[in-house]
Amino acid sequence: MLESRSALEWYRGRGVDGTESHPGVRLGEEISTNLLHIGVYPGAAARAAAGASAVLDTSLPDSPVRAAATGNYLILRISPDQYWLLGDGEPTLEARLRAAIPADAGCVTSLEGARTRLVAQGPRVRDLLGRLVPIDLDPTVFPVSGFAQTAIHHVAGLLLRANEDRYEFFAPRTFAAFTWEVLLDAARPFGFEIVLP
Amino acid sequence: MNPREARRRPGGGRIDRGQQLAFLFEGRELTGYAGDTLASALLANGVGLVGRSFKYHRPRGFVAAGVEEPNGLLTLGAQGRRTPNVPATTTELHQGLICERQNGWPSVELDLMSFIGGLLAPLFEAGFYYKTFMGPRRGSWMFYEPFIRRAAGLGVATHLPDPDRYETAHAFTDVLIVGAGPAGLAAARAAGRSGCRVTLVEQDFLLGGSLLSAPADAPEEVLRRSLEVEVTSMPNVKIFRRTTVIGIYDGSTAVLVEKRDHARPDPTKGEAREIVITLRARAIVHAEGAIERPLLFGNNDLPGIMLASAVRAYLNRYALLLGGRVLIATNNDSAWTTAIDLAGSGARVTIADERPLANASLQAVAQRAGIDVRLATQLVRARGGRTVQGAELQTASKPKAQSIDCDLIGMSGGWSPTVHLTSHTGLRPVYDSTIGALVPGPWPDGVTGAGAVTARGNPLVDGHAAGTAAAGWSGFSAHTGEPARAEAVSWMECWAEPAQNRARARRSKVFVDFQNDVTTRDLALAHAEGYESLEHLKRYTTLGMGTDQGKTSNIAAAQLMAGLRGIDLQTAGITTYRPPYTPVSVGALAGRHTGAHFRPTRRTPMHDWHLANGATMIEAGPWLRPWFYSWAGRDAATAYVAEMQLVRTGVGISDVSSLGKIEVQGPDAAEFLDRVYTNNFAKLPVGKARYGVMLNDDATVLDDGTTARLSDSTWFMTTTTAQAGEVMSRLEFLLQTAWPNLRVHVVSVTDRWAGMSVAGPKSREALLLALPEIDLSNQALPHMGVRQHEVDGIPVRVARLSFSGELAYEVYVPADRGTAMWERLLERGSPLGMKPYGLEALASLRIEKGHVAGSLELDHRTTLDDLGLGKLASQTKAFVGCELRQRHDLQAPDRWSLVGLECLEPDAKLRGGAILFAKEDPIEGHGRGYITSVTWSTVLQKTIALALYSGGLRHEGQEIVCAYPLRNEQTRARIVSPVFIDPTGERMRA
Repeated sequence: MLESRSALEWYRGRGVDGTESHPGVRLGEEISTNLLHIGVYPGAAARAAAGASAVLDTSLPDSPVRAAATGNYLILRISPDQYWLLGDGEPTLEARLRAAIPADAGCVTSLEGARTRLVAQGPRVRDLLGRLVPIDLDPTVFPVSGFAQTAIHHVAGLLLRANEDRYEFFAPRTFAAFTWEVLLDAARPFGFEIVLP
Repeated sequence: MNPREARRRPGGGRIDRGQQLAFLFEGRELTGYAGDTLASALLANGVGLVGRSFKYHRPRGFVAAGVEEPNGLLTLGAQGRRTPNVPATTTELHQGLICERQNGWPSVELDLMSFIGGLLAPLFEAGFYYKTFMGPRRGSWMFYEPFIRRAAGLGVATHLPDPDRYETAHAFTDVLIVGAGPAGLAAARAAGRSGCRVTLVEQDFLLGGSLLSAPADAPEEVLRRSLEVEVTSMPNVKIFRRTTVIGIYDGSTAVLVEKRDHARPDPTKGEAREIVITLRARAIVHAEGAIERPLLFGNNDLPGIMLASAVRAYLNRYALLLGGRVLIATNNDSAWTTAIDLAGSGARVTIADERPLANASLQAVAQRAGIDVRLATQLVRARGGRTVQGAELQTASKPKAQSIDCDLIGMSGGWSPTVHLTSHTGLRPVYDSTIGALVPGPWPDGVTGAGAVTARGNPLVDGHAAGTAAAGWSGFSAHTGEPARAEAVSWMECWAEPAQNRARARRSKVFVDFQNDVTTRDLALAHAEGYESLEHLKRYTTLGMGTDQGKTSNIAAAQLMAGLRGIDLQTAGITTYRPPYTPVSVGALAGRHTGAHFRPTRRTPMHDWHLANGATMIEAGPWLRPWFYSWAGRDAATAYVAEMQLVRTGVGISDVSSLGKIEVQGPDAAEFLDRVYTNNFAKLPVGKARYGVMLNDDATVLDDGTTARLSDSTWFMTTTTAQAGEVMSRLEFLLQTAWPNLRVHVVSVTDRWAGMSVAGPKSREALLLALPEIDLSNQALPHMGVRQHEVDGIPVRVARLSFSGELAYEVYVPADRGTAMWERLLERGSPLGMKPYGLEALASLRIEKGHVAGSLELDHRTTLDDLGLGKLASQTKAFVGCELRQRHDLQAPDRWSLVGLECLEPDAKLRGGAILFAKEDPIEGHGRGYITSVTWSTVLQKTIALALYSGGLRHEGQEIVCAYPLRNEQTRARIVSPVFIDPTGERMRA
């Protein structure tokens, strides 16, 4: 069996767990989810969207800053002709989408394992992220399901506000360990707890 | 009471007498109170001499009580925390602070250099260094410089590592208000009431600005408290204390430096000493206030001569009466309040006002307070040594100067609005001759100002209006109320007469710039020698340089120079104000870019395995890659040879995950590849890969790699490790700009796939042991063949590609399965002796095969033909670079092109970068080429190299000289084909 390993495998059980009784942030990783990239070809947006909608039961969103939530999926329009689809790990999703989107209208690429989904949550999470990302995280500006393509200490990635006090940074897997170390370091003044699966 | 605290008054001030703080001053323990600055604590302890001047080593005392202080620079901290040149006037006193004075030898108290400075003073005029130390020979300056730097200068920094932590942060706001004086507080209150997000930044540790200099029982304090209470209670107002806006940039972006020394931050707990904050605002209100100017008179630098506003601040804020017999010399009303407050505190006070008439009500109050008022009287010269003892006054109506005794002089030459930050975004300040000062130019949209920085109006009323306007720009137009009644504090005229600064002392030095020891005489000399432009004057005399950047001197100097030239100041010009407003520590600028976080590192999916299994890692761009493994040897020099041998004779496995990987998809993907690659791809069958080269627009080689056709419309491109990002950007650029109608998508999948190369004559055998479900026969998977499979339900791509020249396969699996696949391959291949090999061996094997590599042979200067790849240029289609590659110079026969080299001296080395000469050439200049890559060949048992050589293989067989001037080496070598082994490719097609 070719077992799956996290880019943060080495840190499991080695981090500083619960430095304070009331840590300002909890840091961890979200695993076992789908990450699919949907590309739409010029002039074929409607046909690609129609195909995707049949599988996802919703239309592809217009908003470049806020994800559309539908069922177990979150759809992010990451550029005018590209989308990310976050799923709950359903194994047939990729094949169903690929079959539904006409080959001359768009394409589906799996990015499973290509991004490490770093999670930061807790009462001081915006203070922590404010030390790292040049994004206005004020709740009125960056709502739940809001996302932005930004960078943490030179590592480009996508920041998603998953819920009220939970943010996820999709770091390229090969930069994930470095980004994780930066997060741990930046979190020190706020007190942190590591929750790795 | 501490006897040293004799100057401290028993009551009053804004210090907390219940909280005594001990600090170390040059080894002596002194005490102050919470609320003190280091300057006020030192003054309270009778330390009036705070340093020696830059050039003449004259004794100097504090001039100011704030950020403009030119003299009171101390070295704080010890060992790694030692920080020189910190103004004591802006340093909040804290328990345990360590400080010492600067620029005295053997000490500031007894400075022998001051005698030398005094004797040689006539020589130390403007331009002295440039005139004296440039000869007798070229380069003499280098000889003199260390001595000059030791004699002149400020504090000395440490070479020890800084143990403290510095951070960066980002912040956003609707309205940024710079300065929390009366105008800033009023603006913050008005904007805050509108509901918008307000950020109020104050460099002091208390809010109030000039209000803090009023007596603690004055109406100003009632006003200050009421403003502070309301502003601090607003949840939408964020207040940064101890924070300086050091620069304002385009897009209303401000950079703030927050200092946290007062909290004694502990780096082991992650507490930062300083935080640099990039703040983006929708609107900005400037409320930086104004800085008082010194007067120009003889010996105006004696300790005990201060700005009048500083005297008042020390008296009312820090409860320090710094003299019993005080002279206040002024040309405006503001200093009168200082005089009146001093008299009320028991000092004997004389006012010398240059103006023939003064504000009548002030005059009446002064006379009631027993102040000796002298109008139309100018301070000509101060008397004293290590402290001021008296002064000579010249009254207009009297022919003879009068001498008075005094132990403190408060001077006011008018006020300069703090136009530094307002100027940073290109808003040139303008000279207002009616008030003799620079004021900000017309505000652009979204920016306004209030209070003394605008040199007009009532700061509360204007601050309120500015805050309301700024909120409006941010989209908040709610009613912001009216200023409260408590704000009926009078604001007096403090703007100077323009004709100030008539320096008359002949026998004494009149300092314009205290920090750089620049006198009126230096200015006159600069003018006489033609350095009359302000920019020239600055560089010739050093005026306005240093840590204070001329905050107290620039305007006076500009006025004097304009006077010497007989023109007005606006015509004479002003220097450009640039960030930072106040000095910034290197630590703050470095932020978290230290140690392991200096720059990002990139780790392959098998990184942890390599570390656990004896790999020594090496940086390759951002990547950390295995350099060599311990099984093969203890160092790279021996290990890589053993690893090469393994691949040539058995089977090895290497981590190639760092190769750039791009999924190219779409109905037009083949057409797209035909345009970006020089060779043809459109007819490549599914299941096959092809080596391709892409060019830059100018026809130099951009990158090479193999691209496999996985289906009609899906391609898997690999790039070199070095160029992966650039190629991806390039492809996106072309699709978005040049060919937007092509139905193609490119997606970077470098992080999606772990890659491993299994190479060596036994590689097929080894792979079969690990992946028996895949048909690896020559028929099913020939050279350059590609197959996709599922192994345990996981997608696997196997491509028969060779970088080493041996029979070899690249295996790709999803990154999270990389280690599992790597371990399976090694475990199952172990009966065949399969072991890992590192980057050094990988790079050496390809040299033997004559394969070019990114950033070595592919350096964005070589062309297809230079690399011997001209046959890859299609004659039947157009591609990027196809026209420009025909340029004459790119086809010249003497271009440096790829050759192989064999070392002809068994005991000598060839070295990368060695310069190549023909045998008969003199060894000088740039030669005929250079070595790009070198290795020991396990096959040929000699040192071989790839090189670029003028004329290339036309010189095959010739003996040449490889010169390495750094080691004074010259080695003989022969030009040979760059393909050292298996030129027909039998091994990789086996």
